[in-house]
Amino acid sequence: MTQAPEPPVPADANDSHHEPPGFDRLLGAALAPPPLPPGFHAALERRIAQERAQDLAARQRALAAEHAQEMARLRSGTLSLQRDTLLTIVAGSFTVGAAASVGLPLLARRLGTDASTLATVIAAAGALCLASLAVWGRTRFLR
Amino acid sequence: MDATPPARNAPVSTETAAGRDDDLLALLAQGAVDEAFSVLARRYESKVHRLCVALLRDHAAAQDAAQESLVRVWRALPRYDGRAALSTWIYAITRNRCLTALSEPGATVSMSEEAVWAEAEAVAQEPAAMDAEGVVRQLVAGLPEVPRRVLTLYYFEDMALAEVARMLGQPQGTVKTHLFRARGALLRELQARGLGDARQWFA
Repeated sequence: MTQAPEPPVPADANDSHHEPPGFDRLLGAALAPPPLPPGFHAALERRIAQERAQDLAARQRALAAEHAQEMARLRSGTLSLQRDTLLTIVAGSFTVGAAASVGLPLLARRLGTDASTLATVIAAAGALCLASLAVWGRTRFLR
Repeated sequence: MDATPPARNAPVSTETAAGRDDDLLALLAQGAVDEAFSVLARRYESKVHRLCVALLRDHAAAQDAAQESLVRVWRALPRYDGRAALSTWIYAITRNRCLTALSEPGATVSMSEEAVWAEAEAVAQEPAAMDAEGVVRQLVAGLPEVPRRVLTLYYFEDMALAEVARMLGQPQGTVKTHLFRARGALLRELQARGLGDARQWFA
């Protein structure tokens, strides 16, 4: 195309006084909008349905993976809780046993009573304390 | 310029363009994404397709790109935040898809400008093919990329300058300038080929 100096652009680009009448009509006819290809909308709907199905399957897979991960975490939590509880019970028993074997004869001598009665009284007092603590803890939790 | 029906000449203002999607925005606000997309697809599929045709110049590629663009719109619709007008957002997705298509290896290679002009010349010299519309199409194909897109979309979109600007993501003034120069160049070329007389166009 010949490179002539460009004329200034008018305020309205359609305001082309130098263009012959019918120029717009000619361009409009030559550049008619292409019709939407037949079946375009149906094809689009099919693709969306496919995407939706894939999306659903992907979401199901993600949920299943998340569920499995959560279950594994819960199982490992339960195991560590069981292990900690067992360790606490064993350690507590040894401590109580050691304290009783050392402390009871001393207390019995000092109070002038026999060791088995003293052990029963101390065990009952301990049990009462634990029960009170448990009741207090539960009522606080419920509140 | 010839007289055209008012509907063809009426530019689509920004307010009108935003307002025409109020129903879609209401559906999105209600969380009815599927219903909103259904309305959106009916409203925009032709425009998206025309934009793809103007950008890609290949009907098969344009159809693929239009489908893919609308699928992308469907995927992204739940995350549409309303910062841009819905039409602007859809056209931006479409343009990006077309740019990706154009950058792909094996994308449709357009003819060089000189080759297209030469072909137009040959068509214009054949008496049997002395069809002004055909010559115009050839001449339009030979325009530089940006003015060609502007001119093509301008007539595809019933001469709605604002809509063309939104579709191409360019200011209206820029679009107007490209349009004016493209029309001027086309008219000069038609005159140079002895087709400058309007009586020859609709014979």
